[in-house]
Amino acid sequence: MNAILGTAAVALALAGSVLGVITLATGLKRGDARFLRAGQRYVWVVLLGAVLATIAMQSALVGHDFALDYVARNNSRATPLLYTITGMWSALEGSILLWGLILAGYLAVMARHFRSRASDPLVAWATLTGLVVAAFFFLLLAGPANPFKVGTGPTPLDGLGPNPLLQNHPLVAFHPPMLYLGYVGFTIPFAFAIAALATGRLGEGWLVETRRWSLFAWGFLTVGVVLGAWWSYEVLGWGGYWAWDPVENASFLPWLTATAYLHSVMVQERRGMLRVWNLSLLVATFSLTILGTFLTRSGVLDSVHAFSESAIGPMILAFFAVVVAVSVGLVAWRGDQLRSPGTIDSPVSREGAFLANNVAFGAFAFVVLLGTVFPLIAEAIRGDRLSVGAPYFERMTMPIGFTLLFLMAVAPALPWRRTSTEVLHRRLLWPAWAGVLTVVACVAFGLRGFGPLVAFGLAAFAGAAAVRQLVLSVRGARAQGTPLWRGLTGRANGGMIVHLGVVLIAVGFAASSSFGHSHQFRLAPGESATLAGHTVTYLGFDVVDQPNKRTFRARVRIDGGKVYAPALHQFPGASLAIGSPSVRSGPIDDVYLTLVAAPDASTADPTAVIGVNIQPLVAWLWTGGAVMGFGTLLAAWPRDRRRRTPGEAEAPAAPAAAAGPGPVDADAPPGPDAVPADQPLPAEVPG
Amino acid sequence: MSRRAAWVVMGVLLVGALAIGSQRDGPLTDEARVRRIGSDLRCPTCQGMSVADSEAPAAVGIREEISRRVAAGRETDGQIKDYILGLYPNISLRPETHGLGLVVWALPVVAAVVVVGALAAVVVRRRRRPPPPGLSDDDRLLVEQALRSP
Repeated sequence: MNAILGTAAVALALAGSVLGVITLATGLKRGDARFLRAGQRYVWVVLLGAVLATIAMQSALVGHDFALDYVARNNSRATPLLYTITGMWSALEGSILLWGLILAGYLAVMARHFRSRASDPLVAWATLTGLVVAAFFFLLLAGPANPFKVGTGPTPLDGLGPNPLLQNHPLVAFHPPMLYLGYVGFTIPFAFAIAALATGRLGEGWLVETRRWSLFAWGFLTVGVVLGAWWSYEVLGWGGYWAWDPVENASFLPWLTATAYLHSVMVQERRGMLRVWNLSLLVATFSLTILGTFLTRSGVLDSVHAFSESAIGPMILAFFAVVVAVSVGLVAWRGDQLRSPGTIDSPVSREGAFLANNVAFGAFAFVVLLGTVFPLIAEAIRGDRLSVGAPYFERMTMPIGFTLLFLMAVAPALPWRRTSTEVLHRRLLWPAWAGVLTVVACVAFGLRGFGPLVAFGLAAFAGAAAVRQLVLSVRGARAQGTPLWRGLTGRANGGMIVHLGVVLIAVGFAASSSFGHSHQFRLAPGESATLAGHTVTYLGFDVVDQPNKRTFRARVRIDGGKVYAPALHQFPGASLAIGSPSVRSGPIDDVYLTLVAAPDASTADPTAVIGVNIQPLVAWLWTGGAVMGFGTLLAAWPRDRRRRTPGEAEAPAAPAAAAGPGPVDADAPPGPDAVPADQPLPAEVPG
Repeated sequence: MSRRAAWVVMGVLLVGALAIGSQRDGPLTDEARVRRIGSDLRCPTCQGMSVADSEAPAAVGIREEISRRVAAGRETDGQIKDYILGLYPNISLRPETHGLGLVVWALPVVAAVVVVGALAAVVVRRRRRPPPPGLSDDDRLLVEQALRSP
């Protein structure tokens, strides 16, 4: 039943996307608005198919329908309900279904948002592009990644259950959906970029249309990546949160290019420059999500996350190649129209800083991509594998990270076009003092190490610069009589909140990776050990039998206070026990306990080996992620339509005073000079 | 304080603090040395974890061997690492700095230098370009009229 419903639903979604593509293509070719409107409606067919398929999958999981191969592999009668539901994204096929569902959802929201402009060729092309992507994913679901395949042979009485690591922590319910909302969300801006190239409407209209879509996708991706790090910290038990593992890199790569895009897009809106570059960044972001899926889902790379291997690798790789080829072809075809009219007057200006930001993010992405795929290249060339691991990524990305922190401190203070030393002095003096005094204070308190000191200093500099902008903006709001919180909304101010989140993450990262302590202690019940000022006391040990696993749990008291329980889980069918750490988190440091070896019942030796890992400021990472998500919401907050938020009033006023009359942009895009940046533009006239 | 003096003082403070702060207080402990050597080596049996981080038997074994050699105190970190790599080739997490491995180190640096150089060249060339011709009298008249009209 579930299999039939699911298969039919996938077929419906696939048919809907293909028919939609055909109808829209016909409409665009004939210039017939009726076809365009009809084509849009197929989006709802795709959504219906995706929702029905999801219902079928969930009903199969919850009902333990082991006739389905996927359910038999990723569910068992003993699996708790939460992990039964999350079983949908515990392996390849179900993950692709989640991808299809989210994509269908985005396309439906897009169709509804632009329903009054269904006959606009730009919207039609964007929908067509989105439906082509949907067709690809539902084709995967119908063929090589079919989650509704019925197993051969008799229906097993019980299934294997999800991978033990995926039924160990509730974050599994949040991290993958968040990440996918981010990944898939970039399909919409990408679709509009392709539409702009196809229609030749290469002005700033499409950018403005997709601004909020990109922002939301970016926010989801950010939160998804941070949740992934948190999951890794809470579950994997080695005390770290970021291993530069290919799967982590695959989620980080689109984030890097998307972040570069969110910054450089402001240069195009303001000055009309960097058109080809912005299109390329969107294309890169979207293709990197596809490449990431290929790397992580085809099993080409060895990794702690590679839960699945399958034959769909070649199909995804082919799709990636098509995306890149079509995009590059379109950019080349429209090349002459993409020539931008503006120039950069001075490198020490807002646009100069954004350019430097983009070079740094580009370099960052290049290093991560190169390090991730290089083992494959090396294997192809000389036959044996070569590992590129954390030491490489840390060495290469540290200078880039410092550059980005520095730019984050300086750029918000720079006016557009050009600046004077007077302006720089006034705006940067106290943020710079904050940075320098932070370094001096850290050294005075005995912290040692060049890397972390530079990181703390730059983070304080950047943080103070962001706070300065926010204070000015809130003051401006008060002067204008608007509510004070209005001074925190809008792209510029929300962006500064996001910067504060990045500062928290930078500080947490530098501190925890430089000043951690770890040691393993063999303790008898009642014995204590001390590490880095914290005392742990091993109290005893119990065995808990649950339907899906047997748990060996140590009871450990930290600093004479609460008792924590690091554990080892033995899942039936898994040879190695899975550890689950127990963490006392705090604003200053985390005490991270693992049970390395449980007492051995056969030898009557009552000692257990407890791993103690003490890392400062780890909690700042998760807090920083939350602040970044919150800042994204504020940045997307609709503005008061009539008034300009005063935070931005400073920037346009200053260059005029400092630089005198400059050349005027000939093309005068509808940038913030003409219209406040976050105000939706009137609908573009279909051309 | 004059404007320049403030920045000079800041610079001096920063350089001084970093100079003091970069000095390590005391030699590395044996445990820190083991950790540093171990984090450059991949655990041979697990996927993508370093010898320093993994609890797999193979990683624990290598760690014990490193500890023994560090405690003996006759070899440098590099020699210990080379010894382990002699036993388990291909477990270095740090690509070698010669041959094929050099590419992965050098390529980003070369690319960055080329891109920054090209951008700098573009900016310099555009700035050398003669300034746009000044306004003609007709233009000024037009502007005045536009400003005067309500």
